[in-house]
Amino acid sequence: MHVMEVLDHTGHTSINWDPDNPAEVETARQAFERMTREGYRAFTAGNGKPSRRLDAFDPEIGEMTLVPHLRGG
Amino acid sequence: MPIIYTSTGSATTWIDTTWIDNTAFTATGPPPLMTTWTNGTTASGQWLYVPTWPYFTYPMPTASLIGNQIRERRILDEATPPPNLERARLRRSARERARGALLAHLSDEQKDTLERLGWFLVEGGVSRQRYRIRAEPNLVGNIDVLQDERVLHRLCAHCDTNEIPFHDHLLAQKLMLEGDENEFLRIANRHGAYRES
Repeated sequence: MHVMEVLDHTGHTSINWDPDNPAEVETARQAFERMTREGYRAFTAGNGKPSRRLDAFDPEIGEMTLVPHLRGG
Repeated sequence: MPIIYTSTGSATTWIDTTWIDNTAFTATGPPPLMTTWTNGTTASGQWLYVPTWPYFTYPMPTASLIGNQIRERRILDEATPPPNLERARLRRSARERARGALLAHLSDEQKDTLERLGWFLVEGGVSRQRYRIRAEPNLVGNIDVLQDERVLHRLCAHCDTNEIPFHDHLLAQKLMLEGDENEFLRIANRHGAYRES
């Protein structure tokens, strides 16, 4: 099962999909597009590997993390 | 309607409660459950009491039943705790989830320095510059830009501090520095390097 973790006040919310299940893929894609429209940035991630920015939803990517907008402090 | 307690009034083991309007009842100690009971009425061969604050329908309490009542009460309280306790529990849960997510993204070496020293190193995805992300609660200038072991200056950029738990900020900084370094540098404020490594 592939997963998209959206950082939020609960720590994160996980959205899972099976890449062979078109309905789940579409649900995840819609969530991805909605969140990125709202200013979230998407990254591949996990297991100590350097992250990579994602500009579009790719259902074949096993793990991705969506980060809220950052600002200077 | 609260749950009704019925009894024959023969119990001798009671805990933590006061009975009100129990004119037909002679208790040998405080009655069961940690609540106040009102509207005592009599029924044929039994006394019937309605608690103001709800709990269980039980036969006359025995020691083991009281234990069950306390356990069930605890379960109910955990299911519907007061708002302040619920908020505290949710905050604690969020902190633990965020910390777990950060650790899942770190290498063994990064986890080690985070646990022992309170920071971890990341490498900029474009420049290969080394950054040290310090896990300091106020998040102000918590990223050191390193040259060898010297701090050139510090960077400050994070998400809304009320929006996500502490460790999520560190994860966001790591992901941005590795995956979108130039954008992070554009956003971040630069601070002087008063903190020596």
